Parts: sequence; C-alpha cells; structure tokens
Amino acid sequence: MHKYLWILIGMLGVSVYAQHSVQGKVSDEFLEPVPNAVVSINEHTTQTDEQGNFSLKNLPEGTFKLTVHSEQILIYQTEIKIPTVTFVNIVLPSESEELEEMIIHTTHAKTYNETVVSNRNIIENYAGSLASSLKNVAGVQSSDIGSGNSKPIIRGLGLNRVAVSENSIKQEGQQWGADHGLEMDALQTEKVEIIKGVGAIAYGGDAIGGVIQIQNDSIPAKDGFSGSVLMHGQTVNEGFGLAATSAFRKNNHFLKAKFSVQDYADFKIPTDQIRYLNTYIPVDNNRLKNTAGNEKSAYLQGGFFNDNFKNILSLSFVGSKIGFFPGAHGIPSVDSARQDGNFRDVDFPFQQVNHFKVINQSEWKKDAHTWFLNIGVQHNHRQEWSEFHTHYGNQPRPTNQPDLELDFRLTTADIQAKVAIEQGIYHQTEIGLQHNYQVNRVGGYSFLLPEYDRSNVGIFAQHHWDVTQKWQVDAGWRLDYTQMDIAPYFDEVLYDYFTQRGSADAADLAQRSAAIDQSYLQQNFALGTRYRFNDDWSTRATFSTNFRTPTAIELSANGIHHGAFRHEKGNPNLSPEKGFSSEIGISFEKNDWSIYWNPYVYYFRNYIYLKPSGQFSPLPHGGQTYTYDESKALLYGFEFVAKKRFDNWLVQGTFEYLNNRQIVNGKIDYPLPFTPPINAYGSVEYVFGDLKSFRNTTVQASFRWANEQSQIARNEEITPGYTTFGLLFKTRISLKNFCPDIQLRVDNLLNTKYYNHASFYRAVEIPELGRNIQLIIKIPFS
Amino acid sequence: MKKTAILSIAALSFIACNNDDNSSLDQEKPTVEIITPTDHQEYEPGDNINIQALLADNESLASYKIEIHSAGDGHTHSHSVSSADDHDHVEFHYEADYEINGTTYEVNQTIPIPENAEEEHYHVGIFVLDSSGNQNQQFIEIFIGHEHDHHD
Repeated sequence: MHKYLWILIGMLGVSVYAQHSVQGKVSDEFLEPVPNAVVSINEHTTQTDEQGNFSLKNLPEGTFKLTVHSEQILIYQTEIKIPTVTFVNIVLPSESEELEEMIIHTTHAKTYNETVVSNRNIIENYAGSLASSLKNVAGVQSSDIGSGNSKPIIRGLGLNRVAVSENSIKQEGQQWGADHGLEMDALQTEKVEIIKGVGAIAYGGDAIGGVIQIQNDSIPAKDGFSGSVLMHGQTVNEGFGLAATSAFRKNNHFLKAKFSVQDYADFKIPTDQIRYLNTYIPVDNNRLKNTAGNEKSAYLQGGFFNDNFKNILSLSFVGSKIGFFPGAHGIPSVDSARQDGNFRDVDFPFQQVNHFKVINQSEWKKDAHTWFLNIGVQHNHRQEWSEFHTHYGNQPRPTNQPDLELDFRLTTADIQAKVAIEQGIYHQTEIGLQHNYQVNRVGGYSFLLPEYDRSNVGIFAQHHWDVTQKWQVDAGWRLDYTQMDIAPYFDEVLYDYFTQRGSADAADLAQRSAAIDQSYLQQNFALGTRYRFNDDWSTRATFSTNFRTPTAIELSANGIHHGAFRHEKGNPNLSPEKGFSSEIGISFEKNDWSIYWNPYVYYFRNYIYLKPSGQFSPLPHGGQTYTYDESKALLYGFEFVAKKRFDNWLVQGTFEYLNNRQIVNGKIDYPLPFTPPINAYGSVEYVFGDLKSFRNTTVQASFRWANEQSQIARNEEITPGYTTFGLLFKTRISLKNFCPDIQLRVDNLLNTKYYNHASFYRAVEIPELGRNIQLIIKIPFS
Repeated sequence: MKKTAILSIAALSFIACNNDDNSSLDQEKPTVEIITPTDHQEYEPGDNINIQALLADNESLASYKIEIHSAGDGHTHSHSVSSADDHDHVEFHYEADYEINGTTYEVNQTIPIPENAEEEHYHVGIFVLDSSGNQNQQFIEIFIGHEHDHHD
C-alpha cells in the first residue's frame, strides 16, 4: 500500500517541458468549417472556433495520435509527428461513412473496455426503454419488465452490480428490485458509454459488472436556436410517443429543454394461453392484460462556459405508470386475466414511479489542474398499487390510500470533488472525494423493506501513464467507508395474527426487521495496460479487486415476493462481497476489418445470493423462505465482435459466451440465477448513395440468436433457445429547410414465441413480445 | 503487469479445463398433483374436505404444506360473495406443514370445515419442497356455501 502511494507521489513530480504547437482547420465533406469540434493530442484538448480553426500549444516532440470528437463521438483520427508537422488540414469523411456505425469503439488510449453508443444508435435500436435499446452491445443484456421498462445486465451481473450514472452522478432508484426499471428517458440521452469490468474506482463497489455512463451535458454546437421533434409509434403495444428537444446558445451561455411522453397499450404475445402452475390462463386476443403503461419526462439544463470555467445545472423528471399482469400476480387466476375490453387502461395491480433529479456540474481549469465539483440530489418514489387484500384476517383496510401496497421513497444526495492534474503529456493523475447520503422511507399495507439511512464516503486516486506512444498504463485505488443504519420494524398485525393462532414465538415472527447499525470499510485496486503492437494489432489487460457493501435489501428484506411465493429474508450477518476480476482484450483493425475479442473472469470470495432454505415460511401464503447467503462464485466468458465493410456494405456480428458457478466446499455448485444464455447478434447493411432528396438511405437485415439456457439456479426453469429476425429501413429526406429522418423497423419478424431467461415475466411462463413494426420520424429544426 | 498476465493466463486455463458437470446438482423440481378436491368443487359448511394428492421428486422429497384460505384476496378485483350476516361467520383458514421423505408420497387428509365458515370461494394449495430446496406448488379453487347462495 505504502509503496504504491510512493509511486503515485513520485509520478506527481515528473514533468515534461515542451514548446511546440500545432495549428489546423477542421472542415466537413463539403469543406464547410466545423465549429466546436474537440481536437486532442493526448491530454491536450481544444475546441475549433467558428471558422473550424484550432491551435494546440505546449506540445512535446514525438509521434502522437490526433483525434477529433464531435458531440463527444470520435469522428476522426490521424497520427502526427511533432515538430515536423505544424499545420493540419482535416476534412471529415461524409457522415454516412463514419457515423452510421452501430457502435464506435474508441481508439483513444484507454486501457479498459469501453463502448460508446450515440443517441443515433439508441434511436436506431429503440426498444421502449434504455436498457433494452442497448442489447446489441456485446456483453449487455436487458431484463425486461413488460414492453416499456427494463434494467441492464452486464455479463450476467445486474441489480446492484451494475451502476448507471448520468452526468457522473450515480442513478439511485430501486436497483435491488426485479420489477424495477431504469428511470431514464432513452430517446433523449445524448451519449452512453458502457464500461465493462472495471468501474469500481470512480463509482464504488456497485459497479462490479460495469458502468453505464449517460452523458447529457453536451454544449450546443452553434449560437442560436435548434432542436428536433421525434414521433414514434409501434404495433406490438399500440404505443406512440413524442419527444421534443430544443437548445439555445448565445456566446458562452446555453439552455436546453427536452420533453417526452409515451403511452402504450397491453402488449401482444404470440400465444393464446400461458401455462402457469398447472393452470392454463387464456391470453385473449393475444394481448397480455393490464401490461399497458405510460411515461413522461422533462429535462431542463442551463450552462455557462469559457476557456477556464464551465458550469452546467440540470433538472430532470421521469415518471411512469405500468400495469402488472394480474393473472399471475400470486395464485393463477383465469378470471383476472380476462380482457375488460379496454387495452389502454392501467388497472390494479400496477407500479408508479417518479424520479426527480437536480445535478450541478462545475469545472475549473487552471494551468495543469482541472477541478471538478458535482452536486446531485435525487428523489425516487416508487409505489406498487394493488386492490387492498390481506393474508391475515385481522388486518383492517387502511383509511388513507387503501390500495397502496408498497411505497418506497428514496432520497439521495451526492457531492463529488475531483482534481485532474496533468504532468506533462505523459502523466495524468486524478484524486477525488465523494460523499453520498441516502434515506429510504416506506409505507403501504404490505411490508418488504425497512427504512434506512446510509452514508458513504469514498476517496480515490487514478493515474494514467503514457509510457511510450504504444504503451499505456492505468492504476487506481479507492477507499470507501459506509455507514448503514436500518430501522427496526415490528408488525402489529402479524403479531395479533400469530397470537390468535396460539403461536409461541409470535413476537419473534412479527419483528419483520431488526435494528442494524453497521459500518463497512472497503478498499479497491485496479490496474490496466494497453499495448499497440503495430497499426493493426493492439491488446489490453485489466485486473481489479471488487468489494461491495451489502445493500439494505440483502441485510434486512422480509416479505413475500409476488408470483414466486417466495418469502425473501435479509441476513444481517452478511459480510461485504469481495473478489477480483480480470480481462484481456485483443483487437485487430485493418482496412475495412475490425475484430475484437475479450475474455474475462470474475472470482467472488462471497457472492451474495438468495438461497432457498428448504423451510416453509411461517407467513400465510408463503412458500419457501429464501435467505440471503454468500458463497464463492466464478464467472467467466468472452465477447467477440467482428465488423467488415466493403463498398456500400457493412456486415457485423457479436457473440457472447458466459458461464458462472457457485463453488461450495471446493466443488462446482449451482449456477447463478438470471444468467443470460450464450447469444449472438448479426446484421448486414447496405447504404445507398444519395438519391435525389433521399440521403443515407440504409437497409439492414439482422438476426438475434440465443442458446438454450440450461445452466439454471434452483427453482429456475430451463429456457429454450431461439432465433429472431429483424429488418430496418432508414433515410433522411433532404428538402430545403425540412430534413426529417425516417426509420421503419420490424422486430421479431416471424412472430416467434420465445422467452428471455432474464426477464421479469419469465418465471410466470410469459413469452417475449410478438412481431413489432415501429416507425420513427425525427424532424430537426434550427 | 507480469502478475496480471499470469493471473489472466491462469484464469483462462481454468476456463479451458472446466467441464460443466451438473451430475451432482438437483435442479429438478418436485411435482404435485391434487386429485381431490377437484377444481370448483362445492362444499357446505360443516362438510369435510378430503385432500388427496401425489407428490414426487427425482431424488428426495423433504416437506409439504397444505393451505386453505379465502380466494377473495386475489390481487385484482375481488369477486368474493359477502354473506348476509357477516358477524356470525368466521374466516376459514387452514395451514399445516409436514416433513416427509422418499421419492413419492401420497397425501390423504381430511379437514373439517367449520359450521360458521364464511361462504365464499377458497383456494386449496399444496406446496412441496425437495431436499435441495427445489419448490413446486399447485392451487385449486373450491366453493364453500349453500347451493342457493352460489351465483357464480
């Protein structure tokens, strides 16, 4: 430890004196200047002015990679020799050639595994919600809750093992819950970066599987007013929506406002009945009753920036109301699965979520130091509504909001300070301090999770070193102190229920949660390196420790899970999850080929999971008690991505292999639950040349394949494999002042009946959505 | 760096050597088949419910639980039939669990319905566990009440 710190301190002292400068100009395919493009040589960065000109000073001698980013997407790169070259004239290739790719791998010298997904990619793959729109990224899967809600899974790790952040503040919803989705407006995210594996240094232990970073802080490119209106509609749930974006910039100030609404009806599945717990439940008109929903969002952002200072304030709201299928919400019920003639209404049971967030980001630049200060406050209010029912005859109907079953009010405040220090162009160090405070309050006539207060303080340091032009090294360290204070809860109704039945341990059973006051100290390390052998081949390797504090639900949940008849019980004796992960990435890029392969392995000394106890729950209506427990676990797999471009064709494919096991007494034991199967995705795309007013017209055919998932945990079902097909057509109509983007997509072309092993409705034998035809029209204006 | 490389190589070799041997794991759920009562069977208060069911598991059964409770607590629109005079009636609720072993088991049990049981629809459920913690359950719905009260 000490040795390591000394190395860091030693590095701080290194500085390189350099005097050279490079000037240049960036223009587009029509030789029009491109303003506000970000031009970088290593850590030296500048923006082009209105004439597309830029200038970089204080550069050392050597051969460097010069990159150009627009809206934070890498659009151009070249190698330059300093001081031989002093002026660079950059002409960007046409948009269709470079920007239309599904995924752009950054070739920045990053040692970790990062995939950047632009807003354009998200719209192209839009599937009703954010996580499900990202599943073409190798290694990312989604757990879907109906047709408009989903949560991400990275390499089989989900829930509290994947962190989602927006503008560097971690999104705090109710990640622990299987029926909770991500409160993010997918269509209006500006850029998404997916970091697999090592995210723990900047985001803490919750980022074991990876981080989904949403960047919604891009500065409008030009002065004046601009924006777009996007309309979408789809057949599978007769859903439609509207998303409006507008931005205004004047000199150093800007304002952005975004609004969206969407509404969808019960979704269609390719079956007329489902078999759940030996009961055949009819699916009238192939529509799953009460799975309709709606979502609305609003986003307001204002900012100021100059050469040394930037401040951006964002306010956002996302609200949704989504029905649950009543036929399998508990005991199978044929009657309640019958359609009531209205496909659009949301009836009991349903969930309602409102997420409100304020984030302020400040950035000062002074010489080699850049200071960052981020402050965030967010409130997640999630309610489950279900017509009042009780499993204890003695429970009175509440007088106020009698049908509110579960009510969670989670408030989180974050403050983060960070300084990035450049020591010459070879070394960069970041040192940060983060404080996160969270308060959870509960209500409703049922009980699942107690109230708690949690405080977390983290300090971290990261260092990036360009050892040579071809070799980079990253090192990071983080220390977290977490204080968890869980409130006790004594269930009077349950106490009376047991007392009336003459139970001797009524008082014990009625203590749904005990007071817990625990603190945890954890430390994480990460090391990464990247080496570029030549222009074609490069390789990366990372190694990091993982250390995650148990969540309140893991420590002290105590209630019945709908559908599964599962009495889930927390375990206050859990220790923090510990382990390590490592991965290697090998990439080959030559001419029109791009191939990427990265095997990885995770080892947990104590993976926290829900273990079937073999005992019946004492609670009425309860099946088995499941207790949170820990065991050793091994996860491994790889992702493979290949892409080939020739003429107007683009062929690409991804393949994901993953496997995981618990290890008990040195022996291989059960697989972990909700593990996605081995899967592949492939597409063939043809881009037409510009035809009259139609530009960038693209036709794409794709398939998605999943193997049978027979690696199942106890009480999971084997999920059969499947192949589905898709079609995509898109074009931009270029008229004088009117240039709409039009996109038509068909998913599940053959209306195949298949199951997603990780989806919420899988456990109740409900297949995934049937054939879906979706139309998106986006009209930009300025 | 060398250490990382070695560890990674070790990890990869582990992947290569690992063969998925599931033979010692039991992922098969026990089964439960309720023979009586049959779905929608009708009883009068004071009758006996004879519960017969077949339980089976590929390895070893561990326990089962019988539960009878009102079906009027469904998680959606309840359609319970209220009795004319609620005060004289009691909610009928029955719950009991038993340890068993072997690969098959026959449940044969008689449960009396109280004379003053609330007249309505009830769920009869049997949960079964095997020794590995695999679980299964089956529910059927019965009606308790006098013939003339039953408007379904």
